Amino acid sequence: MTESSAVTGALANIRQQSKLMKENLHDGHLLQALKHCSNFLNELRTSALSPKQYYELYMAVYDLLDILSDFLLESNRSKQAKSANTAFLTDLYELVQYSGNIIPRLYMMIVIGTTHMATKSSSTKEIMKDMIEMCRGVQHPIRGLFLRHHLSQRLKDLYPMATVDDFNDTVEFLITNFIEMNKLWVRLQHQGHSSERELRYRERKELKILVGSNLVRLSQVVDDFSAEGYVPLQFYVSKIFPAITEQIIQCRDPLAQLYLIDVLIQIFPDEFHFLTLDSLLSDVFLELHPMLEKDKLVETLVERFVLYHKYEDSLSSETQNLSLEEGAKKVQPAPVKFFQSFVSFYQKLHEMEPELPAACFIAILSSLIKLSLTFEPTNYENLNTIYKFAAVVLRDDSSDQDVKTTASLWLELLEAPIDHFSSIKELLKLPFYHALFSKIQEPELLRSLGLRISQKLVSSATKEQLSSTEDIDDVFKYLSILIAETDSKSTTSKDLGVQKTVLINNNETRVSEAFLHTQETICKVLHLINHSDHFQCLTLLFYVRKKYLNAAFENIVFTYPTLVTRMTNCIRHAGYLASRRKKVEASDQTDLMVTSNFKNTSVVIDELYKYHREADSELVFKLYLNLASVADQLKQETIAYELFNQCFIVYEESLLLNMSQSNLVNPHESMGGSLSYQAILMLANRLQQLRYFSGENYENLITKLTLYGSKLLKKQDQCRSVYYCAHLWWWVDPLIDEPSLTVQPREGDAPISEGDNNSLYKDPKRVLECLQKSLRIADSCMDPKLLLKLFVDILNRCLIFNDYGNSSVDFRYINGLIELIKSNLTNFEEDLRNNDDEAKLIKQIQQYFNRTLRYVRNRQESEGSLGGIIV
Amino acid sequence: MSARKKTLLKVIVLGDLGVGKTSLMQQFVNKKFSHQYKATIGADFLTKDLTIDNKTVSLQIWDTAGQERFQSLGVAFYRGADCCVLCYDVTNEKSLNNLSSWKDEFLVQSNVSNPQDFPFIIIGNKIDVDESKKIPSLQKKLLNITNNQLGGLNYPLFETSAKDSINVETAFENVARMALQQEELNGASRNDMNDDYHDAINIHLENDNSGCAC
Repeated sequence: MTESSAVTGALANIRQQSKLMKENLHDGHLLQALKHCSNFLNELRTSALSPKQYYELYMAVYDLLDILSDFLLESNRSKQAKSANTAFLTDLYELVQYSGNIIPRLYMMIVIGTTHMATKSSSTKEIMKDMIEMCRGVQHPIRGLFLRHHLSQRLKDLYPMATVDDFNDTVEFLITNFIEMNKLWVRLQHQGHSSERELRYRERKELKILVGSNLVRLSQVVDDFSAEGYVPLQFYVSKIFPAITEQIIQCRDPLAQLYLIDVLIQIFPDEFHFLTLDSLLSDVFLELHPMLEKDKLVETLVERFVLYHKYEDSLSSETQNLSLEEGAKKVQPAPVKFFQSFVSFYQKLHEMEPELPAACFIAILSSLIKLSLTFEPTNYENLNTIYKFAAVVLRDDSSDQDVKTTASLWLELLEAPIDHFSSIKELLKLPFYHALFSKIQEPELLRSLGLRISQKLVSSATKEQLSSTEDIDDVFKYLSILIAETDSKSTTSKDLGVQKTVLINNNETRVSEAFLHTQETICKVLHLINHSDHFQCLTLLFYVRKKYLNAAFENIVFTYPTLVTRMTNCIRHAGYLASRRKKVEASDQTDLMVTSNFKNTSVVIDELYKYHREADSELVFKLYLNLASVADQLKQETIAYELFNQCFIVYEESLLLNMSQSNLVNPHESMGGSLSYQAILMLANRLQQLRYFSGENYENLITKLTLYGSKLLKKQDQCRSVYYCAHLWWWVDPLIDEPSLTVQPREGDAPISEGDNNSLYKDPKRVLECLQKSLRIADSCMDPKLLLKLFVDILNRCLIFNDYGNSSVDFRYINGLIELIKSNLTNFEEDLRNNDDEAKLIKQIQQYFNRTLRYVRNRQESEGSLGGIIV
Repeated sequence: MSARKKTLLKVIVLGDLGVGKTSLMQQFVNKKFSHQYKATIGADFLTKDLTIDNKTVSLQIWDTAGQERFQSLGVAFYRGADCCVLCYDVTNEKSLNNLSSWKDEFLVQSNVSNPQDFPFIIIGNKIDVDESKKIPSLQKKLLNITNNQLGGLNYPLFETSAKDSINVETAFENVARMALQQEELNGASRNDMNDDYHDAINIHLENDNSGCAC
């Protein structure tokens, strides 16, 4: 590149000339040295370099000029030693004025001038004035900026600061230099061909720190100066702030304004900004170039304040840790009410320039949120105001494209406070928060926010409960978008292979992981609905279902099971408490309430069944089963009876023909098997625990179940169902304190009571019938090994009932069965000699049988029970 | 003042924004500490004379902006540095993790002749703060960073407080000593190469009569 070679060339020249300068200095030839110095300074006259490259030259030169300055200082010292009034430096200052080119001349002047000042001569101020006046001679922006930068860098430690006058002059000097530099900087934009505008802009961006460093210096002297009656803060407000901001406004250049405001905010202390805030916002910000992104300025300012707050916080906690007397030293500034200032700034801005892009307004508003949350963490009114403004902006923001581009900003605006609070209930209540929310058109945004809110609700440590319809409304109005979600997109995204999907419902449905996650979160929110009064809680659950949850069937499938379970639990609690109360109070209408709640819940399950039938009717079946058990426990016989009937309906409609098998399919295993077989067992389990049914109803149910069991598809399922069902006719545990209704003598029936066992329902004849039936089924089995296995199973059941004292299942019957098994076993003696899988299986059955017999023997020997059985 | 010209040592202070680079320098050079935070704009230096092993050196310490947006003109001032100070904040883990990128940036931009053994020094500032606010298991993390065989920052480490003026003096004395070594090394190599690229700055002012004849 020619440019970089230009730099290398220039640097080489500088090195060579500087070497000569040093040699001459060493030998004491000052004039020669100055000539070489002027030579290398000539390199700074170039216009061919970019600011960064020019800076490299400048840095090289700066160090060399240091050497010159050190030498001059030393020479002057030695001359002063000879005569006190030597005019060495003054003369030199005059001498360099004859240098031919202005750049070397001024650089050398500045070096000599500042060296002169360093000798504490009396004419300090005159030199300063002279130098800055002379600098006007360079009007080329880049060269001028570096020259003036050089001036202020050399003067750094030399500013007169002894008296107030000195100080004022110094400030005057710095401000003048700043203004001149800013003018040069702004002018650069308008130089050269218009096609180079971009280039100029880039150059100016690089040069900005030269202008900014003036303000840094200003801030330093304001800090460093001390005199009686001088208060830096006041000085800033009355003098510095107006002068600088006036210049910033008047330069009418967006880049300069943006940068200088940023610098102004960064380099002066926060306390200064607090005092000038109103003026800064309304007098300065509003007067800036219309193209300027004012949101950036506000953001910078707010960031600064937030940082200040953090710092003050840690400081104040520290001082509290110290002793009390110390604590008074650092006075905490009174809580600053500057939120209002920002608000009025925003209003004015919106009034004056309503055509500003929405992104700008949103950015300002999110800065305001930050500010409010930091300084007034619980001021919801502030937030409400902000969201009111935001809603207005959103309404004005009509073009679709804008919404797309600002979408994430809206989201940010709404999300910003969520993490701030431990409880967001108050936030969700803000009318304008929801107003803004409901104005957003983008479903993606709403969904994301809804999810965010619900996650916050369920993850918050306080686990706040939703205990009124208002609470529910406050929350669910943000979640309805999630509930209405249909996940229809998953098909397309699956095709594209973007989204990970999950197969559910026996691999029949494909849903996205995200969808499942959303549903899970909603279910967790449902668990937050709670009330100390369980009936109230039930009302809330029905409310949420009616108003929100039944929006889309895809969701019903996922959220209703949770809902129903919650309802079932609530009814159980409510009913139990009511029944305890009933013992004390005579009449109560809670019975009615319990009944109606059962009915309503049943309707909900029914609705779920409607949508879920294809997918997972087993779940519906279980929900009915649970509810039915609860109904029985609460002595709601009619309800319970109906619910069990529902179970039968679901069984018949959906489960009976359901061929899906659970994992274990080995017919020899009594566990596992078809879904219908499992359903029979589940029902049997529940029925077995019923205690508040009338005998008639109970018998209806168990007979029906046994019948269903005997009609299962496979022999082994039939057989096992029936012998399990036998237990339904023989209770062994009362489970309740009072006598069971089931065993009350029925009208027209002879009392079945037999001695002290009358509290348990027992029907020996039916038990035997069941066992005989299952034996018959087993006997019709085609596979002789399975048949044998089932025989041994039945034998074990017989032993159990015999042990229970069932007189019908007597030793004669059992002996017959044992004989039957033994004779069957002999048929297999041939096969046993082989060593194949079949033989193993038979061996297993044989061992099973032997173990059973051994058990009988043991019992006979140790307790004398199971008498009469021949082993 | 001695007849020999005092040696100028150039030191660059680097680190993330807000770690306290300016405060450290202010404390060392001016014995001042301010609670007010002011961002550094551009680069500026402070000088302080020190006596190291009976040698007077002038330490030119360059304060830099931690934020890139305030460093628009590039970092030409890295050139000719004799020592580089890498700062982190003991309460800010990110600033600790960024140390090595500051080091890399320095080596790339400064073009030093001996990047392998260029003197760096690490300063952990703000040790005055509450123990609870410090980076958890700081010592372990420090060990990880300094003892890492591959490109580790195996440099002298000082923990300081610019606020309470703890260890600041010691740290910078070490800086000066290391910088001096580097300076002498550079001087020697310059003499060896005997080119005009790096010319040793060595001015003797023994002749009082030298100077302007006018």
